[in-house]
Amino acid sequence: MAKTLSIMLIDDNPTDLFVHERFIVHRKISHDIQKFLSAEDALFYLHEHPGTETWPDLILLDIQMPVMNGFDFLMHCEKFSQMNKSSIIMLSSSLDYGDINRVKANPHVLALMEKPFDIDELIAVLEVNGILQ
Amino acid sequence: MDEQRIRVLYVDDEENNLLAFRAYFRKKYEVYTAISASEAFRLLESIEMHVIVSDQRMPITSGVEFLETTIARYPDTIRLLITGQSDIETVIEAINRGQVSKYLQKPWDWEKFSLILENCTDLYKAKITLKEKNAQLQKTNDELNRFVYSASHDLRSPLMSVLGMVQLAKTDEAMDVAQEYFEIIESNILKLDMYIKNIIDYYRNSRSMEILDNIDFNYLANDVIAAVKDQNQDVQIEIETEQDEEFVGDIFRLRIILSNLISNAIKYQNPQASIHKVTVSIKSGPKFATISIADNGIGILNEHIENVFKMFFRTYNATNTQGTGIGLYIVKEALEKIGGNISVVSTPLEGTSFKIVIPNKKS
Repeated sequence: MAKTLSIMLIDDNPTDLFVHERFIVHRKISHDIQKFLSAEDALFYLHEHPGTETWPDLILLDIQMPVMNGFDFLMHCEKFSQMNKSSIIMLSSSLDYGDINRVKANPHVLALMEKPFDIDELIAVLEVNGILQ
Repeated sequence: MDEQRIRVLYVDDEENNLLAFRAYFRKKYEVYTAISASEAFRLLESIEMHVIVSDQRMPITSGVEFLETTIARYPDTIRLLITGQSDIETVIEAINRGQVSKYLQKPWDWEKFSLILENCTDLYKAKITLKEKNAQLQKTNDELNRFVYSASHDLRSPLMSVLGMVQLAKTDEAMDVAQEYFEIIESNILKLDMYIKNIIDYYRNSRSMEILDNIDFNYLANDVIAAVKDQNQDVQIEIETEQDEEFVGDIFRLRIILSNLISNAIKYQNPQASIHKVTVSIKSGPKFATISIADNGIGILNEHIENVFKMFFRTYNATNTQGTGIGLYIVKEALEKIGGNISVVSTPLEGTSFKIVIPNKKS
C-alpha cells in the first residue's frame, strides 16, 4: 500500500474544518489530517516542523480568512523549499473572477474549489494529478 | 457653506472704481481688489476666490485673457466681466474662452451690479453643493460596493457550512430515518443560496466592466450544463454547436446568461410530458453568435410573456416553487451590457424557446 497522504486543513470556520475532515476520513482518502483555524497557526506549525517527512502532501486552504488570508499564507510559504512537496487546493464560498486568475497563476495550486466542499470533485482533482490512485 | 463669507475679487485698472466697489460691497462680501492682472495673480496664489469680477479694458492683459487663465486652477469660481462698450464680440469671446457666467455693462448702476453679484454667489453655491452631493453619492456607492461584497460572502459562508454538514449527514448510514428531512433542508438551503448568488450576479453585472476572452461555446455550454443539470436529472439535454472561427466576448456574463436560461429550461418542465427535453443550439459567426435554448416544458401564458424579464415577476405555478423571479431580469441586464438581445416564443404546455444574439467583439 502506498504511503498515507498527509493532509493539512486551514479554515477559520470550525464547521467547515469538521465537515472536510469527516468527508476525507469517510471516503478513506487519509487518516493523517491536521486542522488549523488560522493561517498563522498553520504557518507557525510548519515553521516548527520543517522536516520533509512531517511536511503535508496536501493543503486544503480557505481563501477568505481574517488577518492572514489564503493568498497571504501562500506568499509566506514560498520561502520554504519543502513546499515543492505540497499540493494545494484552495477553497472559497464566493468565487471571484480575480481569485480565479490568481489561482491559475500559482504553480502550487492544483485547483480552486467552491464551497460547499464536494468530496467527489476533490477525489477527481487528486486522481487527475496522480496524488490518488 | 452658510457660515463662510463669499470672497469676491475685483480687478480694474482705475483706482477709483476699486475704491467705490470696496465701499459698496465690503459689508456683504469679503472684498479683494487688484489694479492689474499681475496683482490679481499674486492674490490668487494664496487665496481662493469664489467670484472674480474683471474689467475688460486694461493695459497689458485684457479681462478675458486674465479670466481665461484662472479657469484651470479655480474651475468652480464664477467669473464676471465688465465691458465698456456694447461689444458683442468681446462678450462671445468671454463666454467661450473665459468661461464667464455673467457680464455687466459700463456705466453700471450699483443696484444692478449688486443683483448680478448675488446671482454669481448663488451660482457658486449651487456648483459647490452639487460637488458635495456628488462626493457623498460616490462615497455611498463605494460603501454599497463593499457592503454587497462582504454581505454576499458573509451570508453564503455559514449557509455553505450548513449545506456541507447536511451532505455529510446524508452519507452517514446511522441517519437513514432522517434522510427525507435532510433532503428538505438541503433543497431549502440551495434555494436560499440561489437568491444570494443571483444578487451577487446582479451586483457584479451592474458594476463591472466587460472583460473580453476567447470563447469556446461547446466547452462553455457543457460546463454550464454540468453545473445546473442536477436540478432535474430526468431532462435530456442536447447541445449543437457550430463554431468555425474565434469568438470574443464577456465569458462571465455569457455564463450568467446561459446558466439562467438553461436552468429555467430544466426547472420548468411539464410533468405530464413523457420525455423532458432541452435543446441548446449555438451558431457562432464572424459578427454574431445566435443561441437558442428550447424546451418542451410548461410554457409561458401569452399575457405573461411581456413581463418575464421584469424584476421579481413570477407566474403562479403549482408544481414549481423554485423560481426567485430575478433570473431573467439578470439575463436581460447582462445582455444589455454586452450589446446583445433576447426574444422569446412560447406555447403553454408545449414549450418555450429563448433566442439570444450577441455580438462578436473580435475586432
